[in-house]
Formats: sequence, structure tokens, C-alpha cells
Amino acid sequence: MADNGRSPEQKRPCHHVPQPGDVNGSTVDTGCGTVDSGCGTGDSGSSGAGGSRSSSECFDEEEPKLSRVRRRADSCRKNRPPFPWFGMDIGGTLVKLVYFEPVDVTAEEEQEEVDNLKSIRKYLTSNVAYGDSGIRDVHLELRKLTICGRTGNLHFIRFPTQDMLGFIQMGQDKNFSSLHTSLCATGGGAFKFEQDFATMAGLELCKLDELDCLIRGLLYVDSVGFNGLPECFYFQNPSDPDHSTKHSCSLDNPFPMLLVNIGSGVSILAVYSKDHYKRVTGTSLGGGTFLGLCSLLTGCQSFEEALEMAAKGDSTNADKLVRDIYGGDYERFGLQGAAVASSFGHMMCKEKRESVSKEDLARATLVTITNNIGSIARMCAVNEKIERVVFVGNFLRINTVSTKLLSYAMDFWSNGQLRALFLEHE
Amino acid sequence: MALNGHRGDIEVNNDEDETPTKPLRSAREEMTPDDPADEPAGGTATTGGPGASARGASLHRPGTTRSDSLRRSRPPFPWFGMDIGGTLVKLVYFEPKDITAEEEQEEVENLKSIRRYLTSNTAYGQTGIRDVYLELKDLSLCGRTGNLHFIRFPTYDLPAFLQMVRNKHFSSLHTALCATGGGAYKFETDFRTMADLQLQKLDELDCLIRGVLFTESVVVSDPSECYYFENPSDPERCEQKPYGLQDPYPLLLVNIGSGVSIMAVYSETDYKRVTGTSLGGGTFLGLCCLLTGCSTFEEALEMASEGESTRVDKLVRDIYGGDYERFGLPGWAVASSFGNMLTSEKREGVSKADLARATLVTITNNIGSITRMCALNENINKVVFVGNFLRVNTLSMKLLAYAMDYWSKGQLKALFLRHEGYFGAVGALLELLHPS
Repeated sequence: MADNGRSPEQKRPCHHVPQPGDVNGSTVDTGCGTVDSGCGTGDSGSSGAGGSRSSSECFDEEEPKLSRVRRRADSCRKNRPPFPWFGMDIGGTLVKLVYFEPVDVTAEEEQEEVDNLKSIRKYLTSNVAYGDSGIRDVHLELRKLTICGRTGNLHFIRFPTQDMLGFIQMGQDKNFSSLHTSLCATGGGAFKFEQDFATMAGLELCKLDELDCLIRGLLYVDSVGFNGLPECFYFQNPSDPDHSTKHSCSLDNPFPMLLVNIGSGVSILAVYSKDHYKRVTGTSLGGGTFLGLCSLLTGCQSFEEALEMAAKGDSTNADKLVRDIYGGDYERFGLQGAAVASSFGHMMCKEKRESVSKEDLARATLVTITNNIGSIARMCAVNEKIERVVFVGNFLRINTVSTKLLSYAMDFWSNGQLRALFLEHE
Repeated sequence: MALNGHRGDIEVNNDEDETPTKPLRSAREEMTPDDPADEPAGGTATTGGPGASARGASLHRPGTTRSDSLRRSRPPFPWFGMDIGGTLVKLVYFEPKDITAEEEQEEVENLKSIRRYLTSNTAYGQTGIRDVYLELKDLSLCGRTGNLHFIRFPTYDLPAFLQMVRNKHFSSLHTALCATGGGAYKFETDFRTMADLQLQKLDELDCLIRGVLFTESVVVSDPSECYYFENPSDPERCEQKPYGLQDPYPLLLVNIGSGVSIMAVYSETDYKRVTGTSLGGGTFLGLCCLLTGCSTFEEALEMASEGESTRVDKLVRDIYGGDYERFGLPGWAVASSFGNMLTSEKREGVSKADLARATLVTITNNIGSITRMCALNENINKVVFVGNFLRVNTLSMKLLAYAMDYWSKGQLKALFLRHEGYFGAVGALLELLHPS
């Protein structure tokens, strides 16, 4: 018996997130609100999702897999929300949308399917671009995934947050609210646009904390794998960026890990278990800074353009290196001549400003932001005594320069103690 | 006729005489550290101990034994300390005021000329400046009394400086020139070939710490060398207050020059470089010049004082619509520096002053954030900020003061020193007078 996405009585109260492990449909507190507030950039906020998860949680490693899957499917079927199934992350720069497209739709189910639901499904799956700025990352699609007893494809869509209102309008046009499904959303925008969703599209958002969702999502995707391949990767020989090679790995025994989320800004989390993490610190010099500064310095119009310019530039034309000040290495404290002493340090000199290219500036911006993040991440890893550092966030999308730089920095400055890891779904 | 120091040790310039021993002044007495036990602290680099002389207490001491040893080891004039940094050269010059008629008569011409040139001008060439307000008067150093002058010029103009040194036949004065900073290494050959001078190269962090401790100890009167800001976030009530650094250890020393070094200092002789960041004063000035077309530090600061960084930066409230309560991030906190600049409308709506302000705020807050992490991890609650990024830069000082206080919930205290960027040079001078 399949869901048809119609019954109004299946509308859930806002704080209930359907959990695969829910046996009797009772609400499970995902930890929102049980947390002591971390204070800003240095203090820890720990997520107190600990004791509230039921022991029939999906990822209970002790249980034999088969019975776990069966129980999961049973409880899911009882609690399954109506289609469509979306997850939304409204960030400072980008909105990230995941959409589950069921492929096990029976003829009966299809017949009973409401028009607008069908139209949504067709619109999303038969296009790879939406409007002027929406994009579906087809290469990231997770095929034949089983969630909650249904099989389907998981699609990954993104568009700029500045086009949010247009998106909401579209939700209104497609009469989304009549589908009586909750829309689970995280990220700052879930709070900022809550009113707009309600007034413009008659939709009530189920607001979730971005860091809770991040960790949960990461562990889930790593556990299901990337169409049979590993989700996680690192770079071999990081100290030789031109020759370092990408290798996959898995996040087996992932804890403790340092999770560095590089979006518009950066959050750094120490994750001790799937239910227990703290926000160690953050920095406001993130992806938004890279793109903002690049746009100002080079006139570039997009992230892709900025990266393209950076790939061709030489940051040492803008940065003042240790050897520019010392004439060589600063041996006493192990600072190589090639290390950057002062980012953009040459740019106070008129002649150098006139001879530097836009590509050099783009590269210097990228290198500066990346190295700063790497440096802060390394300090956190040392202080939290964690060796594994996982970098995520759309700053790293198609950004091999930064991923290699981060790999190198973690390895070099820690004398090989730390390892930088990355994930395909960023 | 009293004799010069270094007799038998190095070549003595017989033209220069020393004054007869004078009683040492109280309260301005230099303090030299005791012989160190010289154990390296654990972990990263530590300093060797400076100073072999006996510790000078702040009290008046009868002259004999001490002045004898001083006389024996006192180098000939002129006494300079030099710090050749990535952006600026800092020079300290000791002008003796206790010159006897006899000494004056015997003084070599070029020495006299150097003294006159330096003390009767406050600007030198196109870019050299003497910070008169920082002059330390009636200082007692190595048995002599005089004024300590603080001079700076861009490292860019070092060749012109070398030319001048050559023209004044400095090398004939047979005095060592103690220099620290990267430039002491980079320009060592130039000093030799252009001015026939052998530099005595010293580590910049050793000199920095030595200079800080010395200056703090000799400046006992008003205005106090060390100060902090009360109510830094309230423009009406914010005021500078003196702070006594008598019991300084442990302290975190953050040197903000072209780049940044952060040191944990446990005693005069025991410190380690905790970390650093390449986003320093050079980044601020470099980015500012690119973004606003300004060409000097002073110009950049002026623009920054008139700008509004929140037009440029994306704040937490721009993303959340308010506070991010879960992790205690207030709506006014910056979530993404320059984050608004990816929108072309917003780019068109900001002024150069806004950009200058945002650059200042971004660099300053980043330093503050890294510093705070270090303080937390080293378990130190006193942070001293030095370096020429803070010169005439009250905006950054107040920002740092506020940030340290706010994010640490009052646990950390930000302290500042009046002689900001000159401590390396002072340390170099001390090495000349009291070799370690």
C-alpha cells in the first residue's frame, strides 16, 4: 500500500522529524533546545541530542544489518510522510535542496497521484537547470536509494539564496501547500524566510539546526555510499600538490572528527559521536569572503569565474613571503622562505600593484582564505586532540586548488600528524 | 680620564672618551635580567637568556662594582638598535646628555654630526620620521644618561639609508650595529658592500620580548607604558587606563607587523612561538590600497574611520534574520566578511570608506579570534598586543579590546603598549649594551 500524498491527517507537528528508527511514531527530540549555548567563536556549544535518541536508531552498529533494515522498513511504513520528500538548507549564499524521486511508483499509486505532485516530480527530474540560476548536480545523484521503505533517486539541486523569493513564488504557483506535507528546512534562511514561506505560499517550515543536520546528513551519505563508491576521499602525497592523487576512503570509526564547514562563513565542530558534538569555533573569513573580495578585486561575476582566474594566477606576486623579508628561511622558527609572511603584503607598493594581474589577485585571495581556514582548523585539531579533519561546504565545490592546499597545509604544519578528508557531496 | 669599554676586547676608538663614573639614577635604572638557567621550555622554539649583567633594581645603587663592569663592557657611541621589518625599519638611538666638555672636545666629527642630524630633525629625507612623543628622556643606560629616540622609515627606503650611513662614514666609528628583523638577514650583504658595516644579527622575537620587558620596567611615570581600554564598545564612556605589568607572567604577546606572531611568555627567558598568521598589517594596507586607491597607512585608517563595514560584511542577522541563538551568535556578529560583495547591487552601493573599514575590521577580528583561541589553549588570560599595525589605530585597539572581552565573557584582558612597534629595536640596542 503506497502513500498517495493526500491525507490531511498525516500532517505532522513541526518538531517531529520522521525517523527511521521510530517504532511507535512518538516524537523524538533531535536535540534542538537541549543544548547549552556555545558562546561565539571560541566556546563550545554541545549538541545534547544524546539521551533522546531511541535505541532502535537506524545506525545502531551493534544490530545485525538485516534485522535492522527490516525494523527500519516496518517503522518507516507506519510513519512515512506523504510525498514529495524534500530537504532544504537555506544558507547565506546558496539554497541546497535534496529531492527524493520515487522510482517504485505502482500503477495504482500513479493513478491516484495528485496533479501538482506529478508536475513537481516531472519538472525536477526532466530538467537540469531551473529558471535563471537553479542547477541540478546530476553527477551527485544517488541512484536506487532505499529510504523509509521506498526506492528512488536522490537529487541535489542548488540556487542562490538571493533568488529565494522567486522560489517561494513557484511553490505558491504549484500549489505546494495543498500537498499537506511539512517542508523541513535548515540553515539561517529557514528562520529568516519563515514568514515569507507562510505568507507567500501558505507553507509552514519545520526549522532545524544547521549543524545537527550537517552531521546527520554527512553520516548518512557516507553510510549509503555514492552509487557503490566511497563518499569520502583524501589526497595522497599532499606535499607535492602537482602530483598528489585522489584516493577514496571510508569514514569507518569516524569519531572523533573535526568537521570544518566552509560556506559563506566557517563553523568548526568537534564530533565525538553521532549524538555528541560541540561547535569549537568559527571564522567569518569563508567562501563568501573569497567571492566577495574576488568580485571587488577582479570584476569577476561568479564563483566559477573566480576559480578559473585563480587557477591561472600566481599569488606570490601579491603576497609577501618569508624570503621577501628574510632573504631566505626564518630558520629559528621553522618558517620556510616560501611560506607567506604577509598576505597581499606586496600590494602596498605602487609598482607591484601596477604589475599584478587579476588572476594573481584571484589566486592570492583564494590562497589567503584557504590558508587561514587551514591554520585555524589545525589549531583546533591540536587543541581538541583530533587527527582527522573533514572539510565540507560549497566553497570546496569544483575547487581543487583549495582542497589540495588544505591537504598540504594539514599535513605539512602538523608534520604528518593530521589528515584532511573531503566528501563528494560537499 | 675614564676609559672606554671593550678595552682589549675589541678595537677601541681612542678618540672617544667616557665620562667619569656618575652615581646611577634611581627609578630610571635599567633592569637587566639575571643570568638565566637557560633551560629550553618544552615544545617550539624558546629563547636563550639575555643579559649577563647583574639585575639592576629600581633603587639607587652605589656605583663602584657595577659601573666598573659596565665601563669595561660599554661599547663606543653611537648606540643604535635596529629592527628591519617587512614594511618598516625601526631605529632607536640613544643620545647621551651627560657629555663632558672634555668628551665633546674629543668627539669625532662624524659622531657629532650623526648626533646633531638625528636630534635636531623630526623628519629625515622623504620618509623618515622621529616619533618625538615616544622619546624617553633622562634614561640611564650602561652608566650613561640620555634620551632614547624612536625613528622609523619604510624598508623600501633602506638603500637610501645605507647611502647616508656610508656618507657619514659610520663604519669608521667601529661600533657594532645590532640589527634584528628579517631585513638584518636579507640586507646583511648590502650593509657590508654599500656601507662597509658588519651587522650583528639578532632574532626578532628574542629582541621583541627583551624590549617589551625593558621598556615596561623603565617607564614608571605618567603616561604608563602599558594600558587597556575600559568600556571599549561605548564611544561615550570608553577610556584608556594605565595597567601595571609588574607581574606579567604568563602573558600572550601578539606582534602585529606585516604579518603576525603569537608568543606565550612564561618568564624573561622562557617563551615559545605558539603560532602566527599571514593576515596582518601588510594585508590590511595591501588590500586597502587595492580596494580604495589609498597609498599610505594613515590614509587607509582615515578612510576606515569614516566607513561602515556592515554594508560590506554579511552579518548573522542577514542570514538568520536575527540571532543564531543555538550557538550564542548575536545578529550583529559577522558571519561572512565581505559576504555582501558578491551581489553587484551591493557592490555599487558601498563607498571606499566602507571597504576600508571592512578590511580593517576583518583583519582585526581574525587576529582577535586566533589570539583568543591561543589564550584559551595556553591557559593565559593576559594578552599584550604590539606592532605597528596598531600605531595611531585606535579603531583596531578598541575592536581587539572589545572582542577579547566579549567572546571570552570577561576572562581575557587586552593590553597595549605605547611604544608599539619599537620593541624589537630596543631589544637590539640592549643586546649591544648587554650581550647575552
